[in-house]
Amino acid sequence: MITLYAVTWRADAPVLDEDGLALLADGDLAMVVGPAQGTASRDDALAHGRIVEQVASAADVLPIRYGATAADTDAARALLREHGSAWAARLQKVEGCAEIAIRAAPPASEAEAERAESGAEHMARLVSRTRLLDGAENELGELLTGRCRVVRRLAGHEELRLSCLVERANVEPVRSLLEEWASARTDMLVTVTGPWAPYSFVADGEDSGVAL
Amino acid sequence: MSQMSVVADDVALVDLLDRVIGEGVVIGGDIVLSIAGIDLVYLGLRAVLAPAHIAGPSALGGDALTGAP
Repeated sequence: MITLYAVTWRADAPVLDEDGLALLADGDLAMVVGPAQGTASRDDALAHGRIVEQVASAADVLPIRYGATAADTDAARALLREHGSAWAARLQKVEGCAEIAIRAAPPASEAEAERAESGAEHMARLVSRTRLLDGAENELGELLTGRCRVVRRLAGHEELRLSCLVERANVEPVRSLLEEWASARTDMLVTVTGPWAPYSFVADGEDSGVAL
Repeated sequence: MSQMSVVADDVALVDLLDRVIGEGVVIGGDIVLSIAGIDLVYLGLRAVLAPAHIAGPSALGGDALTGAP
């Protein structure tokens, strides 16, 4: 059994420094694979992520979700053959790009932390939070127009989670812009992380983002 | 390291886990998705690392773990 980490262009595939990692090529694509891991764990998941990030720092990648394995290298090559054209098309969509993540939420005040005294109060809090998050999303949409290839809102009711697909040359300017916006939003807790491999833009049927 | 940098590092850790576990290319067919047990591990990490405003029960269940809409 082997672990599957990422798909990249064969021509751009980086030299792999980590012991046990290997590149399997088929057609224009290559897949980064490694020895099977033991029981699923937080450290194992983070190690998976770090390997993907290491490859992404040197080449365009489709990150493979943690937990994917193949019986052997022949089975992994068969996957490359089977999905090659679809994966090549997805790689083209994220070519030259990285992902930046934004989380924003109102701080929990002592009053809010207490249980609502009525259904109406609970609903009022929900409406207020939703308006705040939607307003922040609109502001960010305007701020990021022309600076990102795609912006996608990820699931989450308690906070606003946006992922931005950004050309690598624009990563630092966009980060700076977002951090400046975050500093000005004293009514919210905002964090900006990345650049990451473009995890949020490569899943099956992943067309839910807004092209900017 | 300042407390702010620790918080930023922790959020980055959660963001990486969010992506590794909930996003990326999903491979089906003959591939085995061996993520049994990960949700509990992830839950524990979020409980420790999540900022106070998302550490309540609603942030620890449902879509916060699976990324499902």
